[in-house]
Order: sequence, then C-alpha cells, then structure tokens
Amino acid sequence: MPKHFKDPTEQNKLRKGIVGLGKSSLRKSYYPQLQKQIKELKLAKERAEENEKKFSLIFNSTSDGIILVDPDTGAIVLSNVTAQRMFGYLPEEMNQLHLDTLVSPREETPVMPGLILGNSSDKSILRGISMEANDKRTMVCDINASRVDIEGKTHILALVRDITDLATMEKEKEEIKAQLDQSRKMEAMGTLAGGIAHDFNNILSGIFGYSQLAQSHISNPEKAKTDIDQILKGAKKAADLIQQVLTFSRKSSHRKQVLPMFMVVGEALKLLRSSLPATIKIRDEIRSKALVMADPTNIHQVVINLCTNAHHAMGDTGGTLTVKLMEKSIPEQDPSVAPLSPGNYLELMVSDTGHGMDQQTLDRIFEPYFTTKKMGRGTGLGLALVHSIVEDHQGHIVTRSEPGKGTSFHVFIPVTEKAGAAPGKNPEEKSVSKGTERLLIVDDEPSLTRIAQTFFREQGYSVATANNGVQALERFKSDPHEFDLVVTDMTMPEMTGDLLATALLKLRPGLPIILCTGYSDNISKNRARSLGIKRYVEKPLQMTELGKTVRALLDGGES
Amino acid sequence: MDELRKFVAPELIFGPGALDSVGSYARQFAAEKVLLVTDEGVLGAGWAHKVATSLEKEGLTTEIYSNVSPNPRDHEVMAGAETFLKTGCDLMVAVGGGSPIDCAKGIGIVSSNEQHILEFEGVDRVSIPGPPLICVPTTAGSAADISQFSIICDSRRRIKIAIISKSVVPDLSLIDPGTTTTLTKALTAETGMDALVHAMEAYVSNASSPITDINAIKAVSLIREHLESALNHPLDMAHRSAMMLASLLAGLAFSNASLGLVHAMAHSLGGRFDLSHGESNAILLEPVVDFNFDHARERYGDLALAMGLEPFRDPQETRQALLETLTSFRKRVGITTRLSGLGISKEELPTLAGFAMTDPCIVTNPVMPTKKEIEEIYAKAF
Repeated sequence: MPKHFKDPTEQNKLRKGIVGLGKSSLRKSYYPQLQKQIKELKLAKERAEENEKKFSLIFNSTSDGIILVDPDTGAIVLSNVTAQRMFGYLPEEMNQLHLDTLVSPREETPVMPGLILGNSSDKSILRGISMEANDKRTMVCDINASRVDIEGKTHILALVRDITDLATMEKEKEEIKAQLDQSRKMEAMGTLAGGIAHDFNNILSGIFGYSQLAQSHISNPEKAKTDIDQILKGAKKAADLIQQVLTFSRKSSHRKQVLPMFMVVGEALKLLRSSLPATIKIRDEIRSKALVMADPTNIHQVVINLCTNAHHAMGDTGGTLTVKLMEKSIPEQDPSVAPLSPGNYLELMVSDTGHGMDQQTLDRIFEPYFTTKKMGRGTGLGLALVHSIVEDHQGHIVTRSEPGKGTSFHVFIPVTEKAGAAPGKNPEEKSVSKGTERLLIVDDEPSLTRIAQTFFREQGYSVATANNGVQALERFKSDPHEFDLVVTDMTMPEMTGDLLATALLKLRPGLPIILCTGYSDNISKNRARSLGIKRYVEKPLQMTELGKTVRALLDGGES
Repeated sequence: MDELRKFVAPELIFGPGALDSVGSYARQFAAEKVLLVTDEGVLGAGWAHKVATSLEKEGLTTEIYSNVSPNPRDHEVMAGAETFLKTGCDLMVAVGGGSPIDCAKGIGIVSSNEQHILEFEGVDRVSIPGPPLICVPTTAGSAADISQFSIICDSRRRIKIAIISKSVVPDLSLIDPGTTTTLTKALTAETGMDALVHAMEAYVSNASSPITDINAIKAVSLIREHLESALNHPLDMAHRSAMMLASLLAGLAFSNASLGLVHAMAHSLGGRFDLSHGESNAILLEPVVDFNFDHARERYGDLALAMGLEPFRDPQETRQALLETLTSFRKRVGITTRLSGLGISKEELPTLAGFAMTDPCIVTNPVMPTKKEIEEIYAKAF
C-alpha cells in the first residue's frame, strides 16, 4: 500500500481495482478451490489406477506363486496368476479353495499350523513341502509366509516356490556324489590294500626264501643262523610296515611329550647325511629351539619321510636339500595357512631342487599309496604318513611346487610353552632283568605261547600256558595264588582277554595282568586300566620288550 | 458509462421471514458443519439462536463464534479462523451488524489462504475465496452483507484496514427487516446515518455509475422519509422495512462505486479511538460535504433534491441549504456529539489525517485532499 494517494497514477490503479473487473479476486466462494480439489481427486484416481495396474503387473509376474490366506479358516482370499498356473486353477476356482487342498495328501508336515505364526515372529518358512495341482501332479515347494494386516484383519501371505526340478537335481547330485565318494573310497582302499600286499609280498618272499635256505642249512648252524637273521630282519620290516599303517590309521597321542624339536631334526639329519648320496648337498638352518608337544618318533619319521621324498624328487643326479626350522607367528586368520588358528608355530621347511609337481599331482600327494615313483622305489605311504602325523599334532602342511623348480614342504606345529625333559635314549642297553616269579601266559596262538614260555623260562621264571580264557580261568580258580603275574591276549575265542582279566581280578584283586592287543581290538588303554589291568602292550610282541614290562610290573612300577 | 465495469452483489432474499430460510440454504451448499459468527448483542437479542435452530432443523451442526467486538480486531479474526479449521466447519453464517459480518469475511479468507488477516490489506489481495458465506444482517446500515469490503482493526497499529475484494462478497444475504426491531434507538440512528453516508458518498464518488446512482438516490430519499419514524415507532415494520431496503440499496451503490473522504476519515478515527462507526460518519458528513461541494456541485444538487430540498439556481445556496438540512437531520435523529465530546484532542489531528490519507476509500472521493485539508475538516467537527 502506498502511504498516501497523492500520485494520480497510483490513485487510478487503486480505483480501478475497486470498480474494475477484479480478475484476481473471483467472487464465487470456493469455486476455484473446488475445481482444484476435483482436479486433484481426478489426478489421484488416475494415479491410483496406474499404480494398481503397475502393482497388478508386478503381482502377477513374480516367479513365486503368491497366495493370501485367512489364518482362521485357511481359505484362499487372493492369489496371483503364477499361483493359479502353478496349481492349474482358474482365478475364481482358486479363490474358493482352502490352502490345505493344495497340499499333497502324502505330505506329513501340517502346513496350516506351520504357517500360522506365533506372536513373536512375523515370518515362517516351510521347506520341501509336497503339494498337489488340480491335475494331481505333485510338486515340491518351499513356502515363505509372512503376516500382513489388510483392512484391519491379519492375513497370511504365502510365497510358494516350486522347487521340484531343483529338488530332483539336488537329489541326483547327492547320489552322484555318494557314488563318487564310494568309488574313491574303493579306489583308495584298493590302492592301500595293493600297496600293503605288494610290500608284504616282498617281505614274505624274503622270509620264505631264507626259511627254505635255513631248512637246507640246518646241518650248518653258522649258515642257518645267517639265514635266520635275515628271516628276523624280514619279520621286523613287516612289523615296521604294520606300525606305519597303524600310525596312519590311528591317531596315536599316547606318546606325545614336550619336545625340543631341533634335537629330533638334528638327529634325523645326522642319519640322512650318512644315507643320502654325495650328489645331494644338505643345507640346514636350525633357527629355533622352541618346544612342541609331539611324539619324537613321529617327528623323526616326518623329517625322514620328507627328506626321502626330496631325495627321490632329485634323484641320484643330485641337488640341494634344504631343511629349516624356525618360529612363525600367525597373527590373524592367514589364508595361506588357512586351517591354523592364530598363535606361535614351529615351521619345519624341507625343500628340494628336484623335478617339482603339477597341480594335479599336488592335489593327491597325501593320499596313501599314491605314488609317482617306480615300483620298489617308494612305498607310497611316506607323505600320507607325514600328513596324518602333522594333523594329529594339530599342525598343518603347506606344499609349494612347480614343475622343474622343485618342491617345498612347510610343516607347522604349535609351539608349547612347557619345558620338558629331552627325549632319553631308549634304555635298550639295559639288560632285561631276570626273575624267578611264576607266570601264566594265555594266548590262542600256540606258537606265541611257546615262544613266550621259552623266552621267560630262559630268564629264570617258572611259566605255565593256556590256549584260551576258559582254560586259564579253570587253572587259576584251582589256586588263585599259584601265579605272580598273568600275560593274556585280548582276542581269543570263548572268552576275551578283558573278560578273563575281570574274572581273575575278582578272584584275586590286585593281580598284575598284562593285556596284549592287536590293532583291531576294541579296547582302549583307559578302559583296560579301569578294569584293573596294570599294563597294556601292543602286538606284535617283542619278547625283550615284554620281558622288561613283566620285570617292571613285578618290581612294583605302576606304569 | 465509457469504462468497462463490473458490478457485484450477493444473491438476495429480502423480506419478512427471510431469516428462517437459512437452514435450507445452508443445506443447498452441501454444508455439514456451520461456523455461526455473531456477537454478544445479537446473541442476547436471540437472532443467533433463531438462526442456529433453523440450521439444526436441517440437520446441520453449529459452532458458535461470538468473540467479536464492535470494530472487529485482527486477533478475533485469527481465532475465528482457527476455530473454523479446527472444528471442521465447511460454511459460515454471519448474524449481526457490520462487525460480525466483516469478521466472518476475514475468517473465510484466512482459513482458505492460511495467511494472516493483515496480509490482505488493500484491493484485490485475496487469491483463494473463502468458504461459502451466508449473511443475516440485523442492522439497517452497514450493508456489509452486500459489499466487497471488510474493515478490520489492526490492533498493533491502532488503525482500521480495508480489505476490498470481490471474493469477500457473501454468497447469500437473507435480509429480514424483522431483525432490526430489537435495535436500540442509538443504534438505529447511527446505522441509519451510516447508510445515508454510504449512499451520498457512492453518489458523489468518482467511480459512480447509473447503476449505482439509482440505488444511491433512492436510498437517500428512503432514509429521509423513514429513519425518524423508525426511531419513533421501532416496531412499525413499514419503516423498518423501508430502512432495511435503504440500507440494501446504499450497499449496492457503495459496494460498486466505493466511498469517499467521510469513510476514510471515519476509519482513521475508529481505528484509533474505537468509536461507533455510524456516529463518526454522521459527525464528519457535513464538513466533508462542505469541502467536496465545489468539486461535485451537480451531484450534491441531486442529493439535496433527494433530501427534500427545492432546486436553487445558485449552487452556493444549494450548499448552504444541504448543509443545514444535514445538520438538522442529524440532530433530529439524536446525534449531537462533536469530536471534542468523544474525548479527542486536537493534537491527534495530524496523525488521524495521515491515516485517512492511506485509506483506499479516499481514492474515489471527488477530489483528492491534502493532509492539511483533512486536518482542517476534522477541526470543523470539533
């Protein structure tokens, strides 16, 4: 507003506003506003229709069937085209059905209760439900349900996915996998059995040969003794083989101790230096004296096996064998040593400059009796054994190899903080203590009882034998104090060793009993102890070892 | 008429019993809830309740807003608009004199434009019309039920602002002369004089036209003939009806030809001192006629005839006779107060004149006065 209307132009403009057409101030109340509102309503209606078209298009073109269900009655309230096609009903038919009519009579899962959701959850999933179409065709479906409130009433929105093809494929895949696993298992077993058979045959051939020689040399004790030595050597070799197979198949933890690994590695290297050809240069770097919790024999075997493998890879033309021992700290999950958890490890690295391996070979090197070597060159158990031992020590092996560039094995064993005694020399030099006590030897194999009887008698003991548990028990019952100690086999017909031991201990608590077990015997050291059995030795028996055990037990050593 | 003109008037229902049709008309607007704008005086006279009953009979619910003072204030308009929106009303019925009707016009435009009432000051400033408005006038004078004017007090600046817009013309006016029978003598006189000033100013307005002239002249003669009788015989419906018709005709005239200096000066006075609008107009009429006369001699000559005077050959005789007639008429209807008697000091005159200069009514006065001249006119009314 002008302050004053002195200016005639301004004055005229204002006058015109009052008496003029006043186009910017329409008189009819609300008319423009009503028009505006009508237009807006029209537009909103158009938009709503467009949206409905859009949503209906989306609703009907999903790959899952959508079914809206009344949770009280199970009646289908709404369904999309996909669901109608899936089950082969017309829209008006579909919307008169109950959800249960779509479920196959063979389906055991109660579908409606499964979909009616508790207060706590808004979603539920039913998997692999067998459903039935109008033409009795069955389908396997996953149903995803969620609760939706529509017009003040709770409904169940079920998304039904036909997974029939997928389920069939999945089943076929599983079957193929099972077949493959089975055939691989068979193949592995065949390889293992073949390998053992091969090795055993070799050994047996020697034993047979030398036995025949010994027979022909029986009149010449000198020659015969040489032959028998060879037979013994063969038998020992066979026992070693069995030990290897056992180590591979059984996780033996009973001899683990706090071990300065560098000492074992050093000893193994000393042995290797004398046995490897001069063309192979050995470089060793022992950088850590950290302790590990390990079985010294096992670790020794790991070093020997890896180095032997390296020797074979380089052949007699030679190369450089590098053995390193160092500490490695794994701070966090390190993908290059994936299964290892963070912590301190002792890393044993054995590398060669040999022919190396391609990926295909690398993938299989730890399989038992898998070998690329010529017959007679290697047993095929070496690396499998290494792998088994390392796994048994909570360790891990990383292998790096390239054809033509050599191979390196990195063995990681967790470092232990505990200090322990250095592995003592085997007290083998100690002569077996002789004795005069009374022993009862029980075994169903007469040759074994005979050998034992001969051996112990020579040591000064008085020895009785029995060839089964019942016989032994009868003998014992007649005089429970006749014997000072009983040695019994585990596996015997009629009465097993543990049952015999239990019976004997009942008759005479505290009786020293030694139980001899083979690999397949289903008895653990702990169970044997719990029965009251003082000692537990593994077959094959070595008489000197058994002799020491008998002596120690009689002298009051508990373990 | 050599100028393109527009004339506005609401739909009119005139005659005894017009009030009773309010319910059915409101229903025709498809209304459900009505804001009934009135004031305490009208409530007391019972007219507002009569209207409410008619509305309720038609199934409409009513929300009564009566917080309206004479010379309605801006905050009263804003509070009314809030009530209108909050209670979900969709139509307004204003029952009363100029104050409730002007207030209802303001409530309507505030509620539809969501702006402060003072933002509409001036001409053609309303972009969205208000909700439907039905008026039931209960005075014969303001013609607010007819006009495109809404006069609201700016309580902070203490002035009356004029909102002039075709969109404030009511949709329907139910003019029932019976409603004026409860007016006091003073109010009958003041509103009657207001109607006279409306007619005279519209007639001498520089925006006058044959369409407005005929209404203005007829209004003047009706007022001359019936105002005194209405005062003396308040229940005589012939005089009340004639006065109601005079007010309507004057309203049709001034709403389309606008007003002049009397109203510009009266608005300034009323804003500052909260005086009766009709009384202020009556006091200022004679000095303004005196000031304007020479700029509209012929027009004033016509008005003199309408006031019952014989024609004079000398215009100055006409001036003299007209002024004397107006003075005598004013006194006969009982308005004898001067500005001095209303407690106004002469020191206020420059301020009052200044505000009068900014009132839109001034632009249609036959002559544009200076501020000094306005001060002198005020002085003559002392």
